[in-house]
Amino acid sequence: MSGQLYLEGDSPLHRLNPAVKLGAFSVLMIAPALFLSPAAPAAFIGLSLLLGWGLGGISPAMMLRRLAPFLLLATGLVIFNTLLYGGPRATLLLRLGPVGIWAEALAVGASIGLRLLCFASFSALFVWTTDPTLLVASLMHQLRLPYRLAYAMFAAYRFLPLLRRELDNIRAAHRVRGAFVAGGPASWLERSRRYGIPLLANAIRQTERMAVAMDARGFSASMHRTSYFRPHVRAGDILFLGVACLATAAILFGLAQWGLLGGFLAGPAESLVGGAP
Amino acid sequence: MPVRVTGLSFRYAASPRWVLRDVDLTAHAGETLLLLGPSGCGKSTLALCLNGLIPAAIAGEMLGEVWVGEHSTRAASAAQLCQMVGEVFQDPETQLIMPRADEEVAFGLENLAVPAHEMPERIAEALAEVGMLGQRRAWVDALSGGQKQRLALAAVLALRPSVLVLDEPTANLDPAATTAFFETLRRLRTTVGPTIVLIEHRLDTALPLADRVVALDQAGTVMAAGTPQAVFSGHAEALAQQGVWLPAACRLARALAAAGRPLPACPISLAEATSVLGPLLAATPDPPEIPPAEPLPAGAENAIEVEEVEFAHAGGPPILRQVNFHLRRGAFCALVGGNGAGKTTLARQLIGLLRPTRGRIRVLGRDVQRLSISELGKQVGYVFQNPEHQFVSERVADELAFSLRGRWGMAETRRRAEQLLHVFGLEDYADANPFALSQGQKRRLSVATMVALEQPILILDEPTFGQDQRTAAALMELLRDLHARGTTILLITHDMELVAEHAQEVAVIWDGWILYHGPTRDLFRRPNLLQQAALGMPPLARLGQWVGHPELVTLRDWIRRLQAGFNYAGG
Amino acid sequence: MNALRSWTTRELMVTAAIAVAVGLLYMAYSSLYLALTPLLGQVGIMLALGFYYLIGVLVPYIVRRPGAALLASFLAAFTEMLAGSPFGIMAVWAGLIQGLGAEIVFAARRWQDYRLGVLMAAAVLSGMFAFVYEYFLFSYGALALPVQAGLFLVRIPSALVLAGWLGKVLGDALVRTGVLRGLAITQTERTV
Repeated sequence: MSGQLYLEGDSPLHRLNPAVKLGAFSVLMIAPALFLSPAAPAAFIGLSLLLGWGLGGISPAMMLRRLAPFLLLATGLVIFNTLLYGGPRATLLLRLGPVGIWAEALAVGASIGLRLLCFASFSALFVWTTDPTLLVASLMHQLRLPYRLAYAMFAAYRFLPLLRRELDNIRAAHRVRGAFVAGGPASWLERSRRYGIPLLANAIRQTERMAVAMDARGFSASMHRTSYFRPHVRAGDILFLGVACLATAAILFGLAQWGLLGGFLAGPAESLVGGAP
Repeated sequence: MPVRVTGLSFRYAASPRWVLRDVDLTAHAGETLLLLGPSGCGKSTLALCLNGLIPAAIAGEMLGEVWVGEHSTRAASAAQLCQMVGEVFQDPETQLIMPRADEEVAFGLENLAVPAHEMPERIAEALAEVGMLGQRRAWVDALSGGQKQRLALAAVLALRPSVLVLDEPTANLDPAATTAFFETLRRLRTTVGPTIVLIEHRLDTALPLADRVVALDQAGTVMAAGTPQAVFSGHAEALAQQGVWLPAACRLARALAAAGRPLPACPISLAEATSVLGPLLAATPDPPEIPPAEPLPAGAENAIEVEEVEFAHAGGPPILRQVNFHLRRGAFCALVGGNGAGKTTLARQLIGLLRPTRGRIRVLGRDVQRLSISELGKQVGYVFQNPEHQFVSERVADELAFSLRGRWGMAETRRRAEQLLHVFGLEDYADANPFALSQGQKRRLSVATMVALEQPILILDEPTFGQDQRTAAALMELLRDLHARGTTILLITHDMELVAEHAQEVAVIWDGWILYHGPTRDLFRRPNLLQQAALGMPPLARLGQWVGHPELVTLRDWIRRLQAGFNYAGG
Repeated sequence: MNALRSWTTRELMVTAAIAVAVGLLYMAYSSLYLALTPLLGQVGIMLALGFYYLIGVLVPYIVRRPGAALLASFLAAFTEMLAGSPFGIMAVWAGLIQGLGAEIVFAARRWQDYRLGVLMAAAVLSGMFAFVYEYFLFSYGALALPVQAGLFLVRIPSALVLAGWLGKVLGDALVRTGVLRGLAITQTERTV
């Protein structure tokens, strides 16, 4: 399948209700992002590896391979946040000419870099183990998403591989015509216009046919409709959500006990390293 | 259920032109009606009137009535309509919405609020009717074009309509998939027995199914209606004038009449043609010399040399397995093969868009590995399947100026751009937006931009895909001119009729191998090879085989043969 | 979300298709972002960030329906998640929040006014909503105050140009291609 990330399977993670899984994963991603220590996101990345391995049938090696390309971006975040840190500082690790690397700053930088990997890790696990149809059906039934919006999501899912091929073709065609412009922001703007117009024009032309084909099969016929799949929320789903919340609380509490949690939210005034009494 | 259209006229909102004018037609229950007409005659609009989307969902002004059984489409609800009339459209990519096959069939059932517990059975039934039960949980995106069209048919059949409207359902399919689709339709006629309204220009495939034919003209009025026999023997002249494609047998008969050799009876189907032409051929002695298939001229300078080329995408299966292919300068060669055979992959190696994993490619004697895409672009023009993909500006004239840039001075560039506009029949559209042109104009513009630098080699990737016959014919005319002026042409296609009529030589690619490269005529003497490569035989070549003259492949062959025999016998 | 009932199927599909197309361009853009971040630093990159608010301007400008900015931003982010963006699920939340910012501006003009100034205002509010989200997600509070101010201010000109102005330019260019026939952007007057 061109570009599809979902991996068919029958693991416990695959069997979870998608809406509940989305909620639980959001908790697991957002909670560590609320603290300024590197330990919190690192612990949750570890949790995601365990979760994928134990309940999703996805090896840690595969998860790490997925994260590898994002290391560059994460490193960038670490450098940026370390250098431009604005909170209190006490421990100088290194001095490079006029620039000092402070332990507190590095901790915050590392925390933010690891957050990104934490988002990427849980998101990959979610997309790998969630059947797109069940996801949308579950949003429709559990989160009361209007059905017309749900079908816009299905359409997006169908258009994705089609338009990706289209974009590849447009790029190739423009290279053949010698219309490839490399370089600065202005050329980037020019390129997005040159690629953008054919891509959008073709995409929009296709929508007209898609809409007619859908209405020809009664898409707009009435508000009353039935469902081929109706995902339910079962005891196991609630259990998973509960365990995820408890695990989140336990990890954060444990880190706090060890003095590894750092300040809450973005407060620059909070003490960061070694919040011990 | 019968379909009856009375006094139907329609124009789209904000458009003064009536697309359909006072159309009357009837299709009796269980009948198959073949609807013909030149492009732009309103066939697709008529189809939308039959399924009731006009006037319900599409804005415009509609006069007259469409009756399906006892119901007028004006009065029926959307839910009733889609259970009476189902439609399959031309483009397999844009009529399927769900990720998987069974979900696609379920979509219509959900819309009609069919109870969930009845769905699995109805879905299985519909998939079985089109022979796709095995792909029940398949990802739609991974299906072939032919499978997608049969799935679209199943999705419609699940709603159990008594009328099926099929709007050029095989126009985007390769020959093997087309045959499979029509096979499915044939079976449906006996098992389900719906009334079918079929819009199709491949008449030789469609006619055996048709009970009646209705032809529309450019103005959107009915110009002929009746049995195939009545329409094609009575109105052939008028139909041809309107740009309606005729069955191959009919075209042959007309051409023979024009050459002074009228047939005693006008055949419509190939079978009829066999019974008329068989005795005639037997009665005319063989012409003095049987034109032998000339072997490809050897020794000429090669435009393209592909040696031992293998290719696979990183980590993917091999797409080209060991391709050897030489194309001499000045050749007009078709590169043919079913979908996924490796045609486009091979062609993209020649322009440097893909680089071979192994082996060597030379273009005009130079190794492509040493050339950049832009250097190659000065030697090889490459026309993409979708002309819009190549457009980089918002004005037709700017497209040409872009191709010509940096080569000549201002005045010379302008002069050449104007000349190109003229040669390609676009002089009235210099200021138009390329995207707003008609299909045929877009195609001509995309070719113009690719020959602007007078590249000695021109490669075209399925240039007639999804186009109507008239624009396809106009394009081939253009290519012949370019070829006559010395351009080497490599045409990627799976339209075997196009190949038979225009290409001097053919290369057949299948599963990453070149199965055949030689004179076009010889290819059609190898039905097994054609079958293996998922290719078909054009109707006139098939006719030749049936009457025991496999050397008769094109219209020209037939006329030359019968005329020569006539002259010989007569003089 | 009863407003969705008034949408035609075509408008829904147009929204989905544009969202996917722009989502794909975002992805191409993200790889540029990935490559440049360590080199240029974030403030510089934020100059180009306005492009992320484009979808919340372009689709409303074309279909002119209540909810268009929100739906389009959400679908573009959903596409990014499906296509494997590193931000994944977090991108979907970001899409909703950005879309909400733009939607508020269009709502304040009762979904009747799509002049350049309104488009630019929508882009800017979209950017501000995004800033608040990022402020928490990436702890901007830990940065030096001038840097925080820079992160906030720099996206304003970027949103004005790369979302507001570019949205109008792309929309108008698409009108000229003829593919938008029948949609609100091509109709001079409109009855709501």
